[in-house]
Amino acid sequence: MAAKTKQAGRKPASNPIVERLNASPTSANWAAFSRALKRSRAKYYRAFYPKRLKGKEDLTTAHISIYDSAYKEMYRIPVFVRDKGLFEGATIHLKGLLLNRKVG
Amino acid sequence: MIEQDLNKLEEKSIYLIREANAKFKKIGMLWSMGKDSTTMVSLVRKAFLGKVPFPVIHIDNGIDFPETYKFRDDLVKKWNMKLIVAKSRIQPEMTGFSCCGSNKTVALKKLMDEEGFDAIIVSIRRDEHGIRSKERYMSLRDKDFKWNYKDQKAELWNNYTTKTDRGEHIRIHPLLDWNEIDIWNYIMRYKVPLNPLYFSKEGQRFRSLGCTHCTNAIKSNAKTVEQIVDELRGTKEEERAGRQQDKEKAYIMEKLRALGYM
Repeated sequence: MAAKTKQAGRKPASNPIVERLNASPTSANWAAFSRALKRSRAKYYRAFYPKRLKGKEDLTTAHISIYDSAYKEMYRIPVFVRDKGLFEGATIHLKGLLLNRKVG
Repeated sequence: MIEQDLNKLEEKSIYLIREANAKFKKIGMLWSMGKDSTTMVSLVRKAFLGKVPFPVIHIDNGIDFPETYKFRDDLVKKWNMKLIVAKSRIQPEMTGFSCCGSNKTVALKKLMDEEGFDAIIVSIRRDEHGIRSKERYMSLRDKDFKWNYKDQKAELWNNYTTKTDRGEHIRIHPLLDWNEIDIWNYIMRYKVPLNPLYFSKEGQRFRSLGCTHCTNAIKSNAKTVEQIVDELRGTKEEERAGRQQDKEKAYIMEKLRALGYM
């Protein structure tokens, strides 16, 4: 009798726009993400900075978590936009979201 | 916390704002969307009968709270203000001072060169930090933004420093005598619009606002301005205890400010 194999659990559906943003946080990808964010059920955000910001390069170690109305984490995105000599923070693209004050 | 006569504070601040308008050719006003700078904008509106004749300047490091950006855009529209956003664009290899200091100072310097401001209105208060208590109502900065706090003119009988050489500018501080609770009393009296992050949600609120990196919330259930005022009357904690930049040693802050750091 052939051994039964356990079927792997379903992974949550990936979001190609978020994947593109994480791979390359350019201005164009941020613009696409902003449009998608308005259509989504995202409600809260929270930024996490593991290191003290001595220079802007430390932004690359930070991330923003996006949560739905039940405070469930939907995805993680970068904190910065990097594009042809431009390198700056990108929290303005989250206008309309509320701070998740439930996490420390 | 001592609550001062709000009428006298307002009179002095409005006098300084109108004096600045008379003495300087081109003035800008720094606005961080915090309670102090929004109170300042409100005072300017009072001084000029509902108008804001100077552009408001937001030094944007890109990592402010999204609520701050929304509040900025909404209030600019509501109060019909001219907004100048000075972006702090830093090259990745830059190191040294924390992003708040050098980034914002560099961005402001660049903006002042471009726009030709000879005076900037800033909403600092003496009670916020020891080094700020050394400021004058009209404080001279040289062409490198440096401040000689050891050699400043006394401001006797309403005589202020208004003359500058090429490249120099004056920092105007109309809120210098105000305390934190005076700001909140003013906001309560005139129902000044505020960033929603100042109010408690889920048991937390921000007493002092910076960017997403450098600001920590405090435990509080104060959801209205009146509740915040009541809370402040009983607190012994410093206003800026949640601001990481203020945890530097006092002499370092003094040095940074003298070198032009804001």
